[in-house]
Amino acid sequence: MILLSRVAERLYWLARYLERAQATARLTKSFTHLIMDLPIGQSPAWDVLIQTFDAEEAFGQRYNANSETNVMRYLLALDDSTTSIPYSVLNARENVRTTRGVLSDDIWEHVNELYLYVQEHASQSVARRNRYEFLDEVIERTQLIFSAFQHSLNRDHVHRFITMGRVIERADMATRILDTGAKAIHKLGQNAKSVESLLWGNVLESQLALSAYRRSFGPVIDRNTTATFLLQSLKFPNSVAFGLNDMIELLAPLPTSQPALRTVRAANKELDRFNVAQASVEQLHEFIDTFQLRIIEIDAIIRQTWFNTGSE
Amino acid sequence: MATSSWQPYQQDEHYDELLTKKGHSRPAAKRAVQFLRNTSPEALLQRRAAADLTIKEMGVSFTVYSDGENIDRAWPFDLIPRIVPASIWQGVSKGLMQRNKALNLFIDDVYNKQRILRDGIVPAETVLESPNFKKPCVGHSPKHGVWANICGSDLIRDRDGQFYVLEDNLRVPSGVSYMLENREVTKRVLPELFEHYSIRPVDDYPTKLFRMLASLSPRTTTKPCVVVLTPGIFNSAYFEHAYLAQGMGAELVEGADLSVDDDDFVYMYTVEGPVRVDVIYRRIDDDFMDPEAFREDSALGVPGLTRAWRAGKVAIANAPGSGVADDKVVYAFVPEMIRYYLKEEPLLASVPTYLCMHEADREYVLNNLEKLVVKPANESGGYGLMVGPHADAKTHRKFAKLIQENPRNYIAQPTLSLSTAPTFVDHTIEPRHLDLRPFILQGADTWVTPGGLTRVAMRKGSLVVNSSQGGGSKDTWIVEDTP
Repeated sequence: MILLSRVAERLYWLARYLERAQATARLTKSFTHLIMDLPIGQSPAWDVLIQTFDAEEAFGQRYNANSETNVMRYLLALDDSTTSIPYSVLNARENVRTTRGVLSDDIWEHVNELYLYVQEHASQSVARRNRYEFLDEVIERTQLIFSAFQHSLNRDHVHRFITMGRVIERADMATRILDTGAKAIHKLGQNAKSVESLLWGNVLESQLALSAYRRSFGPVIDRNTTATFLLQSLKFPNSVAFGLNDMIELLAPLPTSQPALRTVRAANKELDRFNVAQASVEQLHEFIDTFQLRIIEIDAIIRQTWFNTGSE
Repeated sequence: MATSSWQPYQQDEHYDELLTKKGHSRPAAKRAVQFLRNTSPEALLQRRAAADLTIKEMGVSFTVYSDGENIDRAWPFDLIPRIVPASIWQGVSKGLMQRNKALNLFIDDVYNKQRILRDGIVPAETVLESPNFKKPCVGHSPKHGVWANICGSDLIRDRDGQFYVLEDNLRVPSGVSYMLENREVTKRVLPELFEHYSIRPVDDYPTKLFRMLASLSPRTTTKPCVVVLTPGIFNSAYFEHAYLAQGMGAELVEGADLSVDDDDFVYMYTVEGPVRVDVIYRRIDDDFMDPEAFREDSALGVPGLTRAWRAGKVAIANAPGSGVADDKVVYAFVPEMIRYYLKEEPLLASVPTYLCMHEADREYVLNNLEKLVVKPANESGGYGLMVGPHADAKTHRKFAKLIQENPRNYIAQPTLSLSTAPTFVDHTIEPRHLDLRPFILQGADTWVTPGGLTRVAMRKGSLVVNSSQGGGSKDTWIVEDTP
């Protein structure tokens, strides 16, 4: 099976952007939900979402206040903020537009419809009244596209690079959300003691992990079990460890995959050795910071090994 | 029954594809016209909305350059099909094959023995001094002796319904994907009509294209590696490049994906390392294809591609230099070419053409500008032409000056009538002018699409059908005569 290096790169980014759009939608949805459940003072402020994306600086250049409206506008409505849903969807579409030759017609139609939907509705999604519907549509439509990847593509390099993009993006988002969530909940301190289970439940919810968690750990939710589940579970497909194991399988059939495999295995080992239960908030943060560097390293190796064309 | 949107119109001045001069339906169009008569304007509007939505969702688009920006526009489509009986089409199809054969013999001749020039059938300077005559191609002959493997000829029908060839597009003709998509859309929005007709299918085009391209491969032992070379996403026909690559299961490559090695083979960069390419269906102009042989400043091309082609290590379709026969001056000589190479009489009519390079013709043209269509020999897309009867005196003067300055660059033709067909405009059905672009494939064999892309001038009375200038399109049906 032939796959152009340039096409492989675009497929990888197609999946990353779609996953990012979906993760942003889920996170926003569960956070909006949370805010409505909690009394003021017991919930984190809206800018926690901006922190998740490390976008404080870019956000600050545009807005003075961390109000709900501004944060929502930044994440849901602006075309030109690199962390917004419209931006991710636009880039996903551009990447499909240039890789249609290796994808099914379905995929193009679904991505194009998602793009048209977002173009039409994003600006009205800022108000809470319309927000749910918008976010649900984005989640459902991206699900549909991921499902089309699963059902309409041969298990070859095309599928492999798409899945790799998704796994990398998911690991990146999962660790970001966990880190920001832990810091925000810690900051609330005693105020939030009574609702801590709810807050952590929300972190799980934002990653579609709540029911799966309950089946593994029961109804009580705290930081240690949440972090253990999201980072280290080998049963839950959205966990970081699960994603890394996927990566190993995805990389194995590719030519010259040794450097990438070595790094993924190293990351896996570090993840395995990390003792979540014993870690303080700072240690968790430190670990995630280092782990994020690993993700960047894996991404760079993938780029150097397979996306390089002669002209560069 | 609700009121009909069908207002029969009478059309004495032009040939109408579906209606007779008295406004009755032609035999092949009977069922379709009946259907339209029984459909209320509301229902038609609904179908049109469904068609527009389908086009938008399928992402059928073309790119327009406007004020330096690229705008991706939905493909304009009229839902009433153009219907041509198979008995008539058969003659057209044969005529196109004949014409294409002669054109390819001509190209092969002028780059090699130049018999037709020495025999004085075509004036040598017309060919050798043309910017379309590419020196790097001299002395080479591609496989099967065929240069223009994909040709899109523009046909029109005059007052009596006779088909004329208006021009032959032998460089990188586009539009075939829209022909295919138009059929898809029509199937979705007018499914009932398909019950009553036996319509020749068009959807095997990508397969035919692939087979033709594979027949050009220099390697006969293995399954050939065929790629589509596109200038990229900003090209107005990018949609089509991607569409055809996908339809053929071929890679869609850009210049940067390819390189020519010291062994003169062409390779593409893949995740598995370099892979040898056998056939390149290039959708990029000669001048931009290879900075080594043509324009040095081209960033789109692949250095050394012409070298690889001349060494017989890769096939390129259409071959570089094919444009030498795609020139409005050369056009005037096509009937002579058919007689010269094939010893046959042309089956398809050409439009009488005055060559401004000839003194007598030039004089006639300058004295009759208000009656003639004046075209530059070397432009496509309907740019830079003057429709005499529709132009003002100032434009006439401007063209008179242009012709005198550069007579080789201009030709003139009588203003032909363009046929019309019922078109759903706003809320009513009105006649609009159209042309037809069938596609001819020639490799080891020759094949013509059943029908082609019908382009419609959506503005009343307009003769400009180009999508870049507000034209639309229709599905084209070649139907069996006896259902």
